[in-house]
Amino acid sequence: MVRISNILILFLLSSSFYGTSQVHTDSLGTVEITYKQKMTASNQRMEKIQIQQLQPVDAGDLVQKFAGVTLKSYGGIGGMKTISVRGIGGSHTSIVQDGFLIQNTQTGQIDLSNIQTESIEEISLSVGGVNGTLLPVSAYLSGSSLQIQSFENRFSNKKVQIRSSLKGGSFGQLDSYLSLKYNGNKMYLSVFGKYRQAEGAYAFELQNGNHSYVGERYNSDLQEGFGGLGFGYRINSKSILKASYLINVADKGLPGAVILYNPTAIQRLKNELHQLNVDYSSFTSKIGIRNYISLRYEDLNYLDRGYLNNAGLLDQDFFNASIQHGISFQTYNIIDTSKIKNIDSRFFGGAEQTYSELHSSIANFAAPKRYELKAVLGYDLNWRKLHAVIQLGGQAVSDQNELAEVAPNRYVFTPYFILESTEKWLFLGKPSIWVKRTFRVPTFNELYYNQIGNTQLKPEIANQLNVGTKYEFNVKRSKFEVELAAYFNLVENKIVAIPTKNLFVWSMQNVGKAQVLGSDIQFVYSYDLTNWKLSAHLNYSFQQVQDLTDRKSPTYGDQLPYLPHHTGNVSASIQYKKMGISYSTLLTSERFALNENILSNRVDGFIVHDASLFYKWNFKEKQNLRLSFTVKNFTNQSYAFVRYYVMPGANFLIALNYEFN
Amino acid sequence: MNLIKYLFVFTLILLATACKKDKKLTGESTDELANGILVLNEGLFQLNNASLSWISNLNGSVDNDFFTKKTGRLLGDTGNDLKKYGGKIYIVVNVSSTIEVLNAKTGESIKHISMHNGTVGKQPRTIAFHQGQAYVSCFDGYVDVLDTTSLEISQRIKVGSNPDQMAVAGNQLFVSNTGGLNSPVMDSTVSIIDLNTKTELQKIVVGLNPGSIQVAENGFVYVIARGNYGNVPSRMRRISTVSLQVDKQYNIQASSITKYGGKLLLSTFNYGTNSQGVALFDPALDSVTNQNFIDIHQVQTLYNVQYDANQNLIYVLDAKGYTNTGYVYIYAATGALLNSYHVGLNPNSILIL
Repeated sequence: MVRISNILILFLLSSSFYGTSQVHTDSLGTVEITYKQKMTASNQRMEKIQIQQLQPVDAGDLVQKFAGVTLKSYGGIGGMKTISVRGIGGSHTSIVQDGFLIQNTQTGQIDLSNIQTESIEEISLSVGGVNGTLLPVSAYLSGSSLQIQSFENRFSNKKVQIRSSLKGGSFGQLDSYLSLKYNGNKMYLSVFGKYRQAEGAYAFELQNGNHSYVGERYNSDLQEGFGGLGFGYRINSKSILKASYLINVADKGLPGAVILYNPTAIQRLKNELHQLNVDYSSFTSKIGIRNYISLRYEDLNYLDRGYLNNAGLLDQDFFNASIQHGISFQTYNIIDTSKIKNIDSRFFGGAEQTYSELHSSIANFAAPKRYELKAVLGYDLNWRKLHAVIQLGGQAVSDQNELAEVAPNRYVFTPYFILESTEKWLFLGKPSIWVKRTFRVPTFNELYYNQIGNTQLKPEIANQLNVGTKYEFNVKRSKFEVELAAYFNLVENKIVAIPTKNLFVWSMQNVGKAQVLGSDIQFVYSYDLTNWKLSAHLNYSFQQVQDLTDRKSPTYGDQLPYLPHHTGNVSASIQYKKMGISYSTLLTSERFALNENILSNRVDGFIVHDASLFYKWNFKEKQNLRLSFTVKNFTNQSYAFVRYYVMPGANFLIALNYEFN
Repeated sequence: MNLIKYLFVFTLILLATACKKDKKLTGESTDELANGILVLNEGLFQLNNASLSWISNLNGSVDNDFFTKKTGRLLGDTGNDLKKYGGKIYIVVNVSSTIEVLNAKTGESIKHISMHNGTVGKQPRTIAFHQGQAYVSCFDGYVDVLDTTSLEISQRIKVGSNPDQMAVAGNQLFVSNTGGLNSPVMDSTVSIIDLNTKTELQKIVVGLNPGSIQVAENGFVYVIARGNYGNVPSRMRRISTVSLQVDKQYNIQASSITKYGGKLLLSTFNYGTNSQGVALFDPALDSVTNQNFIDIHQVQTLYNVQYDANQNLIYVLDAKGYTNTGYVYIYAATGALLNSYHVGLNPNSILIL
């Protein structure tokens, strides 16, 4: 009994508690235990060492490196970034940081530029099944899940830990981060702060007919602060309490799209975000239960001093608040292993309730309130070389608002099933197959935003089918990993904005149907010698995302807007003793700005190259200092993720990181 | 190591496909603007994709890239109005805040007029002409006076909020003040400008959100108060140019008015049933004489109707749901469909040349 508890605690100490899925070995005193958690297919991860080589501006820069992801970036530092995973809208991706959901019921999508990367020790993206245990219920029910593990919110056996960085670069970028953590016998306490600012303006050049149109993308200044507190306490050998608080305050200019012949941009966006998380986990030899509660409040202020109304300005505030409470559980091997060998099976699941509301300073605003109930129950089985999970989920949504019309209550059921091999099957590698049906409820904006909103919207459904395999082999000191996946997705009741009454009155409708045929190829190579370390990561995705909404429409069968057929990433690094060089590139083929796949809607594809040089000093094993110099877009390519939201040309970043353990 | 080799080759192929450029923005275009139709395609907000299409009546060819071929550059963002006066063609580009002046014979650029007040764009909307002067309604609350010879702005006339459509009646200019950017509390007035003194005479209340405005041959001004696209429906009103007052209100739900000889064509749209039509209104009888004057069942999104008296033809512009490229349909005065042309995104006005 005591031994079991220790195992559980150890596994909590290990980083695999939330989100990850590797084999972890941790030690506490004299006991050394290995907890092996099965890796499910379609999972990608990145660790701190890779993150440092990329020198990302925000989490969006990291996520775009994962296979199957299409990023939409509106440019500059602090510009909005959203993702689509495997051709499915971004609202189908849940974002979980340190075991708590980050959500926004107003827009349904999290702006990845608001997630800072200094604290990230590990980031992973899982499509289909989620990796990790005792996660928030929402994560199990989403089409894909992005999981972030921060330095500030994990146990460690080091007494005092410091993480800090100082960065400066082009566009007046200045970035400083300091995080302190004290780890006691049974607890940790952390505090961090980060401040970044940028003047932001950058010159651009784009093609205007036969001429080149030269301008400056200005009004993209940024001032942003992040802060947080973390606390963890092992109450006894069977229970753990954790709490964390995060704040993010930003004031930024919105450079907007480049409008030919009219360079004016004076809109501004301010936001203030608070999130408070508390969870309590307890374990017996049979079951682990986690109770979690999370409060989130976000104030968004949009200001346009050039708006041509009587007041001469547009000043709008949106207040989005939510509270989420849930219970997740996981049983441990429910079959007596003395009777049946090689079998390990467990139940997992949970229930979660969320209340959220949105207020605004604008007139006649619906001020919606929402109550959501989610539940999931799954069975996880390991038998010989096979791993299988069957999961059933459900969600009920009920809305209220201050205007007459309210969206009807909605109920949805969503199953998931995976069967995979945990060991090699000759030339087939480690094959896997999974299916998942997920949904996303319409956001507050889609339902209630003045004339645009449509209260009759149904949840958008995404059906995913994935077949894949994985190979791993070692040749002398080289290690190869290849992962192949082919997928077929069908999105029904797709929520799209279409102008109905006139060009200025758009409305949200459930009219879309989209089909995704895609494949991801990932290749990882690493080579380790005493003084030399080589690594290469290559991935490529092909996605055919067709509009199957209306057979009579001229766009039937066309590729959906802003989804490229081809995306790819190459990153490579060479390290010799204390210094190294890394290179990374992002490739995106042409896309279309509107539904019609015609020349005039075409947005050029691009390849962006980044390179970084670094040097690392270690002092007495406890401290290390890392200096790096990064040049991004060193070929000075003029490119845009979104048409006329031109991205910066060649730019540099110098970073100094200091760590104490 | 073969695998690496394959992947390498694969990447190279990818790079090659991604870099492929097959843009053709320039080419040959018609030398003379004659015997054809020039179409202004509005484009969509923030996409800088307003364009001109040239439809040749000689061979029925459509060139959807006319402006760029003639000028070597793009037209800009949100083309709002296209008119001809004297030997010049004027294109009002709203979001780009420009007026493009072209030679009406060759289509070549004469002047690119930037419409800015300091750094803020004036957002010009429509253009009207009177005795050598052009009047440009600007969304910042003014009507700008542009001399059609010097092509310089000589003065600004203050009107109501977000002025849009205009009509010249005698020596007076009637301007619809939409107040659209004050939504939900929009404007309800029409400004009357004395074109001799170039000052606003007065504002008259016509109903919520005034839009399309026309002078009929009977001398009355007809205007549509578009309402709020919700519980306040759109309604047509008549303004007397003598009393300068609304003297008649009609129970007609219309979105725009087109002059059709001595009569008017009303584009109608029923928000309840989503049905649209083109009705014939007879000012002499003061009523709609034909609810479905032309059969527009193949039109998906009725965007504008224009009439050419010389040829006695009606042109119907279809915006195809606003996000797909549109069509120009040509009807005989009998209502029979004669021809159709596939043009650019959101065609909103044409010139018969």
